[in-house]
Amino acid sequence: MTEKEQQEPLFESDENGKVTHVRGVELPSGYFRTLAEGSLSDRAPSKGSTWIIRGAYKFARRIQGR
Amino acid sequence: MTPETGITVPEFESNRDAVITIQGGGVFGLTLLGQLQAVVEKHRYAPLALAGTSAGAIVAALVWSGMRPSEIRDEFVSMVKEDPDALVSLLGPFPPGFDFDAFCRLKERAAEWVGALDVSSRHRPWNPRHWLGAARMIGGAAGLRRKLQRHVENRGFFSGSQLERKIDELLRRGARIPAGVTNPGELLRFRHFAELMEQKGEDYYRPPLLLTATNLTRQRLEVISSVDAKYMNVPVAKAVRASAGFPVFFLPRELPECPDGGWFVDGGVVSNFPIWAFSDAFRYKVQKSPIYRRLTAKPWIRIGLRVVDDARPLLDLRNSSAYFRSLLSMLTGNARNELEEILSALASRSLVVKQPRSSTAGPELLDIRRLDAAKIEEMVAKGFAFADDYLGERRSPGVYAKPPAALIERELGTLVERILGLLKFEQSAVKLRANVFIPVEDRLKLVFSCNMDDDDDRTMEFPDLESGLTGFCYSSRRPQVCNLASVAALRQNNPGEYRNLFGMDPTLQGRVRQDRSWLATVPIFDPYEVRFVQQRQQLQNNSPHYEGRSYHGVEADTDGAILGILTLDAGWDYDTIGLSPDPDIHFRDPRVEAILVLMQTAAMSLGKLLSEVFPGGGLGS
Repeated sequence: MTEKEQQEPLFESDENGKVTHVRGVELPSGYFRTLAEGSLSDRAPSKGSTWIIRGAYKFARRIQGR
Repeated sequence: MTPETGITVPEFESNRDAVITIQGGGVFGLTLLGQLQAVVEKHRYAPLALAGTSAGAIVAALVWSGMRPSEIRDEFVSMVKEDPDALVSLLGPFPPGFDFDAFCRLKERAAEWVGALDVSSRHRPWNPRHWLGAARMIGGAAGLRRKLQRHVENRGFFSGSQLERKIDELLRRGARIPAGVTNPGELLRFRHFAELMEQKGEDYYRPPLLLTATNLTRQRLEVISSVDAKYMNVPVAKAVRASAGFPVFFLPRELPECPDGGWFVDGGVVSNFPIWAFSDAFRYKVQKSPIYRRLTAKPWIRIGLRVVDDARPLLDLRNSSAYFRSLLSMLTGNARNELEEILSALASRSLVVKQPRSSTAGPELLDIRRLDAAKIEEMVAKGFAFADDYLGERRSPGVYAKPPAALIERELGTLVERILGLLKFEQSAVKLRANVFIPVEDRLKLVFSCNMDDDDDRTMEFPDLESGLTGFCYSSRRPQVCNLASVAALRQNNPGEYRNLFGMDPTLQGRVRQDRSWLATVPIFDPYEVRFVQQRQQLQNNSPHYEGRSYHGVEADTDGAILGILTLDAGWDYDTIGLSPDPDIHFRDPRVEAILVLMQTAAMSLGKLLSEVFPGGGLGS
């Protein structure tokens, strides 16, 4: 994540409370698409997101009482 | 244990990754909680995502926050021990002069009115009972009208604001939300959880959560999803309260934070058991999520938790009142139940616990007055026992089958023989080895192999799902080819660029047999969750992400969940066999194309061997 990205809030909303921006990028009206990690395709190899998988199993173990 | 690798097989065979759907059911939410306790706490299914409707939404959201089912049970028990009316007061605050008992008296008045209607209609006009019944009916209707008018204007009886606050309180406790995350009086929103995950990482990870609620303003069912940015500002407790808003019993809940706003009532009005929410479309939605897309490759079991009506005797429809009762029953929910039964049977790799209502020890659907500590514990225990028996009888099936290692290794041997035979290679000249890597939680482990002998890399294990060409194949879900000789040269001559290439630990790379000069990797797609896609256009648009100096991502028209990675390496000399050393060129060589086709065919067979057979869709159909 770049320094600029770190400074950007993850979500911004309008006065009605609807999310309008993700990491400074405007959401296309009515749709959601991959934004926060830039233009990477959903099948592009990437590094650094293993924490999601680690987190998923950490969560599971907690719920399982392990 | 496989004879060659020495790795204990059950490590991957115990994979019980699951997406769990919990149906709605009023007080039977306690039974469903007990079922969930058996599923996760005893049978060790790992919830990768949760969905729920109504009472199921309450259970799903509390577990999502991080509370174990047994902790939720204990919370309810201690609430009613402290204050016997604690559950009833969650329906409030009540308007002056009205409480749950007043509501129950109204119910009794309504029942009397229906009784009077029945008496009147069962007797002919010359029978005084007809007129007595009619008089009671008219008098009762006038009284009821007076009592009900205010609630009709309010569109229901109970606001459920206290329930909303209680859920918010429990979410905070379950998720260990630090102070100051929300403004005073503000309910936790989905974005607060997302922001905490972003800032604090895996300790604050929450799986995808899907809550269904009926948007009456728009006349549609909405799946309020923690994965979807457009719902990020929706307060979680408000969404849960909306999903659980049994119409008329509860007032509708307005959710202006939803994309189109609207007044919401119980999700069960449209779908009480939304197992369809985990259809293929969910996996593709996850692919688009910046946070969750790494879950896309995970195969999972669909688990459904239900309490269903007991089997009823056949109705004799020659009796007109039986006919209309049957018709009314279909129009007021049974048609929906029937359709959901059909949809549920279509869900592939699924386990659906269907507990008859008579085995729950539960009171009537919404009669929370009957829920004292003993009753809560009894209902949870009944749910636990039923789900435990259900899963025990099926031996708690996991994602993977338990194929003999020899069977997989024979498949790998056949692959090597076919390649040698088809391409007229001599094994002594190309030295082919074949392996199967299996994802075990967040690692990729070499589990099955062929021709590995005593090589140092025969117990290779990647510390994540992204390192090396094997990890690239897993995360890109497409075949890859790589010139290992040029990787070795890069490692020697330009360590900085090498580190950026695959992020592979040098000591791990050092274990790869030194004479390896070529490597191909192919995903073993899950036969339950594979589909054909048109990738060519997308590949061209994103080509910079796939091409490197030493490897090439190969176009593929399949995508889906991944059971493992099939790898094949060779120790050939590029000049001797007349193959360009550049992967961007040699991936088009007919020999390489043929190898990849044979590997993909083998991967299909391996996928079938590795998959546990489930009834329902997919393999078991």
